[in-house]
Amino acid sequence: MSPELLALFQTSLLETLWMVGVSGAIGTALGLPLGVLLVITDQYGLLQNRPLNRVLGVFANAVRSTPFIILLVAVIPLTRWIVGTSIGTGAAIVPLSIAAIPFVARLVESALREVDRGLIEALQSMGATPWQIIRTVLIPEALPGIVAGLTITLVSLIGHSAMAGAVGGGGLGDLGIRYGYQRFLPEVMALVVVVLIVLVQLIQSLGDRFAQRLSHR
Amino acid sequence: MTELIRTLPLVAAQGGVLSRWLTAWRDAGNRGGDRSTALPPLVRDIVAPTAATQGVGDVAASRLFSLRTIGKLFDGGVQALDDINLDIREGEIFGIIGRSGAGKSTLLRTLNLLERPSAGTIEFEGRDLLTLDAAELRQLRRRIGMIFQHFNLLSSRTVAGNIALPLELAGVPESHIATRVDELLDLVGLREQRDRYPNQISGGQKQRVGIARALATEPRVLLCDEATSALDPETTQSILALLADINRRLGLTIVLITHQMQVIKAIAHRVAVLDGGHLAEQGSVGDIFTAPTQEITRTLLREVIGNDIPAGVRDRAARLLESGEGRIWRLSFRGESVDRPALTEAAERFGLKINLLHGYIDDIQGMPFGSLVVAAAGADAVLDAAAAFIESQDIRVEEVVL
Repeated sequence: MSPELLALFQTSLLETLWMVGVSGAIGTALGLPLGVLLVITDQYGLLQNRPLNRVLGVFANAVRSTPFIILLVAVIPLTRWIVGTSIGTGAAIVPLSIAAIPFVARLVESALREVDRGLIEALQSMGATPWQIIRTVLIPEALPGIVAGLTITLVSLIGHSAMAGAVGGGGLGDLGIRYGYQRFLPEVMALVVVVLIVLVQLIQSLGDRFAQRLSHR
Repeated sequence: MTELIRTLPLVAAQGGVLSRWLTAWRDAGNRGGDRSTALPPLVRDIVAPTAATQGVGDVAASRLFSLRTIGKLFDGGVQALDDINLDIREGEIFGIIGRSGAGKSTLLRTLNLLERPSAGTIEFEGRDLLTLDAAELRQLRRRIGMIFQHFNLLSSRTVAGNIALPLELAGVPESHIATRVDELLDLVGLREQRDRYPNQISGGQKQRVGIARALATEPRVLLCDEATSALDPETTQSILALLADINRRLGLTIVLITHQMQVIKAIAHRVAVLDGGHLAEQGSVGDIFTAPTQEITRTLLREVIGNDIPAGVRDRAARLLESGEGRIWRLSFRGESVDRPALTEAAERFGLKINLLHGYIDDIQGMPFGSLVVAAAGADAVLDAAAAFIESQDIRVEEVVL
């Protein structure tokens, strides 16, 4: 492989890591509270609020049911408003984050629902406020599940980031399509796939190990 | 007592205050005083708002909880509780027993308003619980500890972390929490398990953590929701012994619900029997065990005392009755009457022939009680006189109809 191609490879890998890292962080920062809200506002939640629960639920489902390639194009006006451009790695982060938020939220929601109701009751019997219950019971007890959910999110963001080439986002997927497919360099395509496999394996096993360490069940 | 309070700030200034006031707290409780005044000022302010301690010392002082016409109608139309009236006195162990579905868990949970009753009033320390707002209720719940059948420990925290939790919630400073947690670990005998996680300790140890956690904020009362139902018999005994010990040493009121009469027999002072959401009967454990008035109580008692006459014994009794004049009596005795030779005396005095068919003698918290089923042969007039004599010796005589 030529030195130029190798350099290109390195750049693409960094672009992928950057897109996935930043959108994963934004997705977690907004998806985690959204997941908590989905749980506490529902019928038997700590702060019941059916209308809010319904609205949040519909939002999460709407984003999650939109194919990513369509979302990528549909949010271009928003991307342009936030990043200033609709092209490039930075621009790809906006739709990736938007896709990640409800994804994280639903996974967090299901992790929180696994927390024994008895624990919440025990905290209530101690005179805990709803916020104290969220902070000291819901999140710490669901943390292994939340970490597992975030691992899944990162893995699926790697998949989504491959489509970022459609808006000139760069990354490994883009490299594979442009060089491997369009310029007939199958070894580039193969290498991209191998690197992606290794990357996913790495994230998955690190996530599993971390979740395992957090779990004391 | 006043001496004690006056010296407390001095002790506090010298440090090590928590271990000292724990002793002071126990002593105050044992003297029947208001324990909350023996707490160090800091903890007292946090766990015992002044308004909540009012009512202690006046006429209502001995009544910790007063429930009047409590009812609970669930959304689905299930009447879980109906017209419950009961008082729970300061310093006692009050048991609530019933079959599953009798409403005992609902009743227990109304005491700290985890379940809000749909009718009636609940007073705690003379305050109407149902008029409290959310913040007042949270304050008050720190004075009502609770333990659970499935322990409800946080798997993400160590033993020490679990015990520290209510103190953290109450905003007690970290340095005080550490000392207090150590004292509680000693109290329940878990010092060695301090840094273990709940999944690394046994069920009995988990319940000990639950007890330590519930006691952390120096509650006035401990609510036990089927606290021993998930434990094996031996562990159950050790947990009950711990509860009885805490009740004695700290003067802490305990309210427990259970479906096991053994639990009531082992530690309760008074008991309420629930049946289908109604209060079937209530009274001292001695009275309920020796003279139950309701069928449900007798059924529940069968589990611990063999009140039933076995079929074989019944057949023998029937044959005895056929062969001549006589009656089958059940004699119930308790306390000192156990020691009286009333039966021998009756036999001698009235010339009765007495045939022992069935019997047991047991003991509730030091008070012996028992029942004998006998066949007494003799003329009707003689039997009536003998029965009257035996009753005069504090032994209840019931004729058993076969």
